[in-house]
Amino acid sequence: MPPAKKKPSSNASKERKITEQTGTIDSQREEIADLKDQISAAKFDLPLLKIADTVLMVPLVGTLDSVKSQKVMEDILINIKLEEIRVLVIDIAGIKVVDSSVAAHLVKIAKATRLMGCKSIVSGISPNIAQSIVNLGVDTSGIETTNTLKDAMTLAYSAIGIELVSKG
Amino acid sequence: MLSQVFIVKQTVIVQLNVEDFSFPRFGHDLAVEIQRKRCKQVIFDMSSSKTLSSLELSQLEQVIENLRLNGIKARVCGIHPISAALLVHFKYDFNNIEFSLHVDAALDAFASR
Repeated sequence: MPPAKKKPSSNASKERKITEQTGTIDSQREEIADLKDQISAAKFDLPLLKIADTVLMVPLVGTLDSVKSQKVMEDILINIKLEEIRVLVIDIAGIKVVDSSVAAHLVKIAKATRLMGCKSIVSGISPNIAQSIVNLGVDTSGIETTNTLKDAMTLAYSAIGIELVSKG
Repeated sequence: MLSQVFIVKQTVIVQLNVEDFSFPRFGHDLAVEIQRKRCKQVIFDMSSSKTLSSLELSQLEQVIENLRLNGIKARVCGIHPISAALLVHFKYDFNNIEFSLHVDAALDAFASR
């Protein structure tokens, strides 16, 4: 019996299958990466430091992506409601890179806190960060900013009627 | 009007029912009611409405603008954290509205002026 001839279309269909499977594997890899981000955001413990009766200080370090920033915002807003916070200080001195998305996340956090009647101050803005925010064209008109945490603390305390006076 | 209205320290407190926005003359009727009570400031307490849409908040902004034209100062308080987190994703800034955490904070803010 003569051997069965290979159909010319069988190779093409195999290639198509391989391309499809590669695509599926790529999309699954992306899904896994997203899930890893979500897991790291869920594990991420935000230090919420209550430095006075109605003043909350949040030091942000590392990177700030959309998943992490959403969690930061939710944690802050719930804390504002529970602890009756009137002034929020976000220190971004520990943020590695402040790009347009980080700036947009900060603006969103500030807007959300304003909706809850809480004043927000962003500290740790170095001249370089200020320059990059201006160059990126991010509207930060609704946010009060300071260079150092000390300046932010002074502003925060004065907002609740406390004046810091040195003893000497 | 479905919203409930109280007076504390010469300030009208409106426990807002967002269904009132469906009445086209709500802002006008509220301004008349507040002037009849001889008050000059009003607090909109949103604590009873857990979910607040951007449309409802922009309708409230119009009501507040109506009141401002009538010489009445307004503040909004009691926005739920979930609503606040959702509202920031919309393009509106609500820069013309002043917000407080709760009614007491809003009363304090009026008193400190």
